Amino acid sequence: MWSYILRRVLLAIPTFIGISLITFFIMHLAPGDPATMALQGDSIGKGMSAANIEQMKETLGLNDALPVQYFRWMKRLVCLDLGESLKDHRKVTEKIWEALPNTLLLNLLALIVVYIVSLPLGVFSAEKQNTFFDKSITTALFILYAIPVIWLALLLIMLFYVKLNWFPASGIQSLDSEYMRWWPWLFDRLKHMILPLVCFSYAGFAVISRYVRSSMLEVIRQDYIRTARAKGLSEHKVIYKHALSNALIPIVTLLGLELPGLLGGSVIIEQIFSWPGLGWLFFDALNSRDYTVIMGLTVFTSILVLLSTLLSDILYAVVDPRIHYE
Amino acid sequence: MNKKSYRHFIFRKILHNRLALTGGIFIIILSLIAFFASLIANDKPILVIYQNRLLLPCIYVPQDLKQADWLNIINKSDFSISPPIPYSPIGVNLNECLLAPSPSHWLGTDENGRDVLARMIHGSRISLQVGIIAVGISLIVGVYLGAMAGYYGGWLDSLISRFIEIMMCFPFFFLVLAVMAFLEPGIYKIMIVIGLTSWTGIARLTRGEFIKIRNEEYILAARCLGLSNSKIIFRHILPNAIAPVLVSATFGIASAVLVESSLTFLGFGVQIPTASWGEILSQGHKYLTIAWWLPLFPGLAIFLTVLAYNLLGEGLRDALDPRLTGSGDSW
Repeated sequence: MWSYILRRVLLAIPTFIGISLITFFIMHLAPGDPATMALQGDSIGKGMSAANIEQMKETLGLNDALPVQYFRWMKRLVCLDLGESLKDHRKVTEKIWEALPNTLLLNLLALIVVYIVSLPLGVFSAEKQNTFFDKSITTALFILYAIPVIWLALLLIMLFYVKLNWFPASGIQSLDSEYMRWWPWLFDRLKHMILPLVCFSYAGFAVISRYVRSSMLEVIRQDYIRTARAKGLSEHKVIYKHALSNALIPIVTLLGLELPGLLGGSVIIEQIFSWPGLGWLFFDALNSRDYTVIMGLTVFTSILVLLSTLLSDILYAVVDPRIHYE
Repeated sequence: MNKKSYRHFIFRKILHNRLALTGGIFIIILSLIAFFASLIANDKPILVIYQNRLLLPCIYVPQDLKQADWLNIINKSDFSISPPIPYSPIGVNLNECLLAPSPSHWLGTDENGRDVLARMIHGSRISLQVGIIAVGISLIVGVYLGAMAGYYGGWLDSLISRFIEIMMCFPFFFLVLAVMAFLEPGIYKIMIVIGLTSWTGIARLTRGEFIKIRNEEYILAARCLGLSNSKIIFRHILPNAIAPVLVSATFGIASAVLVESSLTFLGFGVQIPTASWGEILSQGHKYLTIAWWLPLFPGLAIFLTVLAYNLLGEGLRDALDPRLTGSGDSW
């Protein structure tokens, strides 16, 4: 197992280099160059002369050969330095560090909600395979899965904010939250979180509960389940002790696979709900063509995904002793 | 089983699957609407006889009538047929901004007084094109790379597999938006970017199928006969490997439609004044408190289109799965 983990970790290094190369390639794909693009997106930049732009390119090192630029960027990246924002000259890492907790909070809560809802749904569906219950759950999830997140978000805001005024539609807390005691403060935070959380999690219900269902069905067909039944164990014990614990093994890997979807979705959801997380920061940087922030966030989020897949692979090896590296 | 009867068999199975059939019919109707969009929703008449000339202004407008007032022409004409929705998708009418649905504007109007239904009808073109072209590109890239990796194996396989792994690390929207932000916006660029960023699933599937098939006896036989590699790959393996790939491509169309509308919603997709569903949604976001019809109808259209493609993909998967004989239960 240890050699598997070691190899898995070592394999992440070329993947990391690949990620950095692709990100770098994207940034230099643009017609023109990042400096001109950044200035075009900036209101001050429009009045700048060609000489100024040339000077800016020189300071940013954009006139050097591409490999030179890549290695310089890579050297800083390894030291966790992503440069500074073109917009407000703050360090990109600092900006990411501020936004990260907000996004992680929502994403992790969404993961928990998804698993709490999908596990029982999947297990019941498998237990009562092909009954009315199973079929209606399947249909409902299928329909839920096709709902565009933007549409759902806008409808939720219209219903729960505009019409009923139960939940706020933007931000992470009310303006006066600093003066609140901790209990109303927590309640206020929760109220702000509900609608984005629904948007983050509903699509996951379908995916995870289907996985749980098919994984359960696979396990139930195995010989040891027949043995368990044959020796007279109650159906309850067979399903929840013998089948479930084995069916859960492949589900562990899904934890890591859910993250890219959640992170990707955060660009849209955080923009709609003005939630100051990574997606919101990214959208802000896109609009001002702030290329150091765009580049930094693209690399950062993909490394986050890389780490989470690594973690789930390792977890898989830990929970399933049959895994060997070929 | 010969090829023709197998295809026939799959087709029959899909026809018997009521849900998949509904999805298919929905997509056919949508394609017809998209194809005839300018005959369905237009401020010009479909056919008009004016000053002894027979005109088809929806299809072709003669030079001397480019600036003409068509309402005036219809009134003076001897005979005319107007489209069922007499509004153009881009005709601005500032007297009719943000009107709620009514008999004259069935689905209301947007911030520039444009008819929402007319814009949705023309917007269906974008959604259909994006789905098909983007997935077409990702099929070409994905199938090619997957086939190479699966057939040749060895270092080529490791190289391609690693590349797939790297591409899968990027959260999809971060990657697509990072690319879109540095390109001049344009509808064909969106299709290309979506296609070039969403081929990984298809490549992995194809690779898996090729690894399964490449050691089959009939492939060995083909090799013994001295067939070239490209002939074996494209003539002998691909037709047997393509079924699950096509299922995944059908779901891919659904997600491409979603991605395009999201990109447009965020302002990095189709640019105004071109009509698209995502653009109406983004106006809906702007006027959320006063105009419920703006997000409701285009969102519904996206939802139904995505659902239709998913149902079709589901039906296709069931039909191609020899283990399933009953109704659609594999999802």
